[in-house]
Amino acid sequence: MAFLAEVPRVIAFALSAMAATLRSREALADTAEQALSLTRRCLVPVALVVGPVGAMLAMQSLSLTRMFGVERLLAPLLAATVVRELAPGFSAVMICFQAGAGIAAELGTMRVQEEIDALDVMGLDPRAMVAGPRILGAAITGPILNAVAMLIGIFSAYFAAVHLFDMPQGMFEQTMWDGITITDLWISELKAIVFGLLIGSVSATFGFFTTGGPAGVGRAANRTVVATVILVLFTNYLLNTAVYGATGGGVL
Amino acid sequence: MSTVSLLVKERLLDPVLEVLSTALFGFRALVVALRFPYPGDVIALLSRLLITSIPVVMAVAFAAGAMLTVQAAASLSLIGGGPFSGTIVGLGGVREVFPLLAAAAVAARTGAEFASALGAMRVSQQIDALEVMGIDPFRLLVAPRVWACVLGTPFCVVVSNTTGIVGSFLVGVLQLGIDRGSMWQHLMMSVHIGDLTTGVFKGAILGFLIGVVATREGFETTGGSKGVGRATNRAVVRSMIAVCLASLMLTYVIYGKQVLG
Repeated sequence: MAFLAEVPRVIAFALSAMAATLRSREALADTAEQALSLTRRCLVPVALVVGPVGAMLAMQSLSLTRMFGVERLLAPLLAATVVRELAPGFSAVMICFQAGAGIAAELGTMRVQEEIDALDVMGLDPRAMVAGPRILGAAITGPILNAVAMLIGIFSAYFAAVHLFDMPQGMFEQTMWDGITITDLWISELKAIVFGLLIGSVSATFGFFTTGGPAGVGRAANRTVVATVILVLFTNYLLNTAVYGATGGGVL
Repeated sequence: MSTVSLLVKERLLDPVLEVLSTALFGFRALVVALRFPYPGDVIALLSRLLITSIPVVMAVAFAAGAMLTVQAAASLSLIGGGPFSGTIVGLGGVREVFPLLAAAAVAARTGAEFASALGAMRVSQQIDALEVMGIDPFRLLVAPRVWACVLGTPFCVVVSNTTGIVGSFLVGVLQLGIDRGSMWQHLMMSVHIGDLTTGVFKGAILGFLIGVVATREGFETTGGSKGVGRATNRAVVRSMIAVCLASLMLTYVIYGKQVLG
């Protein structure tokens, strides 16, 4: 894997960019702006992906729980799956697709149009001005989108189960909270912050060091998407094992 | 124009027009692809798709299979847990999660590549040059790429199913300590041959959507290297959204009656 060779560079660049950003007042203002713009760009894609997936999950698990005659377990299982896995996982994948590729493309364009070199020549630190705010912005966007994804995922699962497949409404509403605790919600948000930070770091680094004209910009965006998606899914697995233990922690 | 009508245009009218123009593009791509299949280009693009996408598909499906198994075992601890996670992976994973993730991986790897390649050709005016020479770029560039996606994605779905099941088995046995025979039996018991062929069929449809959305975004690129980045970005996001919505519709059509029982 060629990506593994990039790990030291990503870590070194992302840390120095974030440190440079935290020292500068203007860069912090840029960070807020970036967070807002990334959230706005990702909101609709996240909703359009998590919604269908939640409904699909409800449909398939309903056929499974009806097979075993344990329809009562459906709502807690759905809620637990959405909060623990689906919302952080899919919102992170959509951040990779939308924000990750976007950041890489933006920074790549600045690089090939020599805007970054121009900043350098003027004695301004391009890491603090363009890279750092995007990394930190992605870390702020992660938990916001995750919260939205949790709401949408549970609501669309509820809608599919109750309104399309005749599950008793009261049963869903009363048992739903058995599957999740407030701690689960916080863990989910924490995961989203980590994912945002990872996506921001990788995409900013890949974009910042783009070479080779317009085709190079496309290539940087492409590499970013692939690397971040794989990174997010494996980190998700490692984080789950670390938090819930090797057996995943019982839901009920 | 007033703010309200501007907002309506931006938020409502433009997305609808984009969807319609993509549908039109897809229809044209379908017709051209059926009329002029260039086997040489298709084979070259297809093998590139397989070589570049399959490692991504495998990584994603392995992680998803592992995650699904641990989560399912935790969820089902009340009714015996353990081996039943095999049933969940065999059923839900093979029907939904693995095909969807295979399509996502193809969109991320190959869709983005097609969009950035065509976008770079557009902004460096190579596509205009083809048109000037009287060569239909649709025939030469779009049709083989759509073909490659339609043929390659089903194969990626098969790989994804296999890797996901292997990942689930390994995690079940090595991490959760489930009995090897029991885990395998539960996995195999719940995989129906019908689900596998449905997955292949689904893969072809999702592949068509990825091919059309990606080539369309690349084909309609404007605005220099910035535009190429934007086209790549849009291609991935839009094909992912199309894949998710199509996947939901297919699930509803195929399995909807079964759930109501």
